[in-house]
Amino acid sequence: MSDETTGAVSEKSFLIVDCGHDTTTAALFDVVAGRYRLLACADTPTTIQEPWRDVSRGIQHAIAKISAITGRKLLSDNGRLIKPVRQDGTGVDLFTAVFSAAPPLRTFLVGLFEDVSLESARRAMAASYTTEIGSFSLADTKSEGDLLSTFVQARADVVFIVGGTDGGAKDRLMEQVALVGLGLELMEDGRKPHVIFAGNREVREMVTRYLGEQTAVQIADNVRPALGVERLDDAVDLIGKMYRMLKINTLPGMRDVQEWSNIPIQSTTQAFASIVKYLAALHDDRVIGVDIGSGTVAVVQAEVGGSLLSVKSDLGMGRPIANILEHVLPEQIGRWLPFEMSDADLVDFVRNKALHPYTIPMTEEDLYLEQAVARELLRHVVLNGSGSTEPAGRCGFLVARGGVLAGAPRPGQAALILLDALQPTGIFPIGLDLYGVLPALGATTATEPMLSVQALEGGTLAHLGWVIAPSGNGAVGKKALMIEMESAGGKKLDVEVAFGALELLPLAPGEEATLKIKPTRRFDVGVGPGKSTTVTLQGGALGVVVDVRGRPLELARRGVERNQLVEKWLQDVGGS
Amino acid sequence: MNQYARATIVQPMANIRRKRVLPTGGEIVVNVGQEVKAMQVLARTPLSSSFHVVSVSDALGVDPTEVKEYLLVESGVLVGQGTPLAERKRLFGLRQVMSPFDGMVAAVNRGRIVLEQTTDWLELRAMVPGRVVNQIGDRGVMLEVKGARVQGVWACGDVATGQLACLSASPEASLLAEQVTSDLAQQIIAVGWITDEALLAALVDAGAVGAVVGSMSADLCDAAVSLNFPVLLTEGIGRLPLAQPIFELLRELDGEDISLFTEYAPERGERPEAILPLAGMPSIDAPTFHRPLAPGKQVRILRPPYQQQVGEIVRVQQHMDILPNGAQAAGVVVKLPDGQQVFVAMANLDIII
Repeated sequence: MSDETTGAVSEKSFLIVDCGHDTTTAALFDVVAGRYRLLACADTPTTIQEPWRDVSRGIQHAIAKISAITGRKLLSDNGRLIKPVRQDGTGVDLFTAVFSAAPPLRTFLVGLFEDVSLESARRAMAASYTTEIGSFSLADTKSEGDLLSTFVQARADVVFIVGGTDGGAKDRLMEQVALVGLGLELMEDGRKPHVIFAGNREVREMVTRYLGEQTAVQIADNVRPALGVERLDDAVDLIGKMYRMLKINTLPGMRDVQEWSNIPIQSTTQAFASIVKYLAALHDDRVIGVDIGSGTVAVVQAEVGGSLLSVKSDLGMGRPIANILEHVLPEQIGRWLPFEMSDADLVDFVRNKALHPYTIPMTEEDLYLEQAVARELLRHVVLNGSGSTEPAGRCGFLVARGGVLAGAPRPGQAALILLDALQPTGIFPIGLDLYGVLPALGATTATEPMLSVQALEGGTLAHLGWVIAPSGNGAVGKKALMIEMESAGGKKLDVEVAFGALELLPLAPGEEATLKIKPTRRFDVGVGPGKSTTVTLQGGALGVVVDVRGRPLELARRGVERNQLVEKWLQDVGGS
Repeated sequence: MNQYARATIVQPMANIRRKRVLPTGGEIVVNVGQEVKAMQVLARTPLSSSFHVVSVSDALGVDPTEVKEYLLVESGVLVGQGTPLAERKRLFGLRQVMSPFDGMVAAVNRGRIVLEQTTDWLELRAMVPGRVVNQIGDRGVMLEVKGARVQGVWACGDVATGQLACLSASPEASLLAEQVTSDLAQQIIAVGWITDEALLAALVDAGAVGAVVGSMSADLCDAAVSLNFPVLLTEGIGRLPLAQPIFELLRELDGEDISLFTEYAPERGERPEAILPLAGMPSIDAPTFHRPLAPGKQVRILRPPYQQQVGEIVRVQQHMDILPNGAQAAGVVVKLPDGQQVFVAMANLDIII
């Protein structure tokens, strides 16, 4: 289909769809002057819910919109996708879709020790669309009967069994497995959960033999093969497969979508993680990918040799938005507002948004409220996922998506949400998935790498600008950085940046400049404290952002002073 | 090209389909085609079960694989407290394992008997008079009801039925707790909004069995949940009045029977609703949701600056336009009640049908 060595592509058109909780996005790519380009994209409401209960309807609506934009007929008169392209130019050659619209996998966790195997299992679950609906371990003091009641009433999709090191003791693990077997026996046929076993490999056969009589048993590598060793990839992959099989593939209307698709349908997060990992390999640097969706928030931290994926499928800017109030106080959201608001009003706002999840802010006040919630969602996921008190850390490339970012009226607002929430350090560009197609492109990286590369180069990913964000702290107003900037045209600009400042250096999209960055000894731009570096950067929508506000950011908890500071930061990045 | 938006049903008269289902499978006790009264039981299921594991192998002192030889019961059998479950004859006597309570043998596995104790039964009542038109497996039935219907956005408490008492003179009017002086026994009140917990308590004390309200604060929603007092919010959380068409319908039907169906599943798009059965009146079929946006349609606006205003679509924009905060969005031009024409994002519209 494509020639990776020359970059030449076969003349095949792609239609890719991202079916989210509230919005379905379709994008049409085709070859223009020998390279893939995004021709059109369109959004429509997702039709998974009543009264439609058919995901294919929303996809058809979105495709019809693309036809209206491009004048290219893509659907037949009875709503079927025309594939491949016909001689009259109607139709499309290839189709694929990614989904986050399906509910999370209801998972019951069974293991031995809370702080060993169960902790690893929870980390594996955090990398996919799962909800833990119950668990039992050796720490449980309940009677067997009570444990069975909990297990049976949980109505899980999947039982995830972990425990034991490879070659270690078997008896206690098999007692837990026996209890699961007893629970399965109490459930009606057709309502028994599937089992994933990722424990001591020596009891795999026994587990399969014992539980396999009652339900499907899948085996993954032991998440804790030895003390102090954690191996999650295989379990994460298997949970992802189960999610596709039990949740995505059973969505109403999926039959049509599966028939149309040339590439296996993936979950949005899995596909998003693929493209972030791909970018990390391409740039040989640490790439942070952020997806603030309507029903899921995901953060991927990828570098060559490893990645960390944190997914929270019970958080998002849509219906689950109110769940953030279980993790943060209203005042933590309120601290990001440029105006004062009572905690009660803030809670009312968040909970009302949960009732109308698909709505968008029309006033400035509503806009800042949603952006404040987005900051806390992102902070919670990144801190929770890494188990760290520091947010994202060093960054080589920041890629972000989600309606709250792409729909921000000014690019500075999107950038500020990311910088405030993640507080990354280093010298890095910010790419924004303006059209909501990044995960769908991720789904094609394995089979059509040229599509991803050329579509990204062709402007699918909006370049907000480079960020210079040193780590370190100092006295507010005292010199932190000196920057000597010389544009390709020879124009020079020398800037001294004080600690606490957030500044934009002018560098228009398409322009290039060389910057000599000289931090003072307490600051580090990624090459060592006080060490200078010279970089050549391309301009973006914001120019170059210099963020010397310190890490971690210090904000007054309440009051006019804090409101004014937040307002000033918005103004500094052209966000208000 | 057609554009679609979400919809809310506010219907004075229609053939309404109302699903009534148990949380789990059970026994359906009515037939398709049968007319049912509001309080009639449709189906029943054990409310909650607890399990008890009896280790027969330990009690009899035998290997788990040998237990089968000593069992006196099998799966699915009902047993009373003290019923022998297994016994082993010995040289000078008999060792027996008795059931510790009334229940059912749920499973026999590896030397153990699992007993299931049913603590109560859940009876599913119709809660609205109608006709059974369909049986939904072993979970429940579909009822057809003739009458009025108002969909809400949030609800709490149990499903309730009573008589509608419209206590508001206007969509935004509220009540003070001290104004609740009369007996509201078996009444479901309608009011613009509820502003304090004392009013909720006063309504409960006066015998009200539920409320249809435009909005309440999040705190009051939590309070209503704690009181297990059925409340249906038609607009949202905060301080939002009843939408004008909803207020007018409720005022017109003041005194009629009303049922609040507070159970709902937002993740499946199922919403809570109030149904007012209106016997003997002509009916039309339930409206379709699949109507595209078009000039003349009545819409409710869901976000500021025009939040909760109900207007009429003047024009569907074919291209994105600018919102007051500077963002771009697809939308429509709506004529507000004061005659002003404003651009509203499509996502913030709710068609009233």
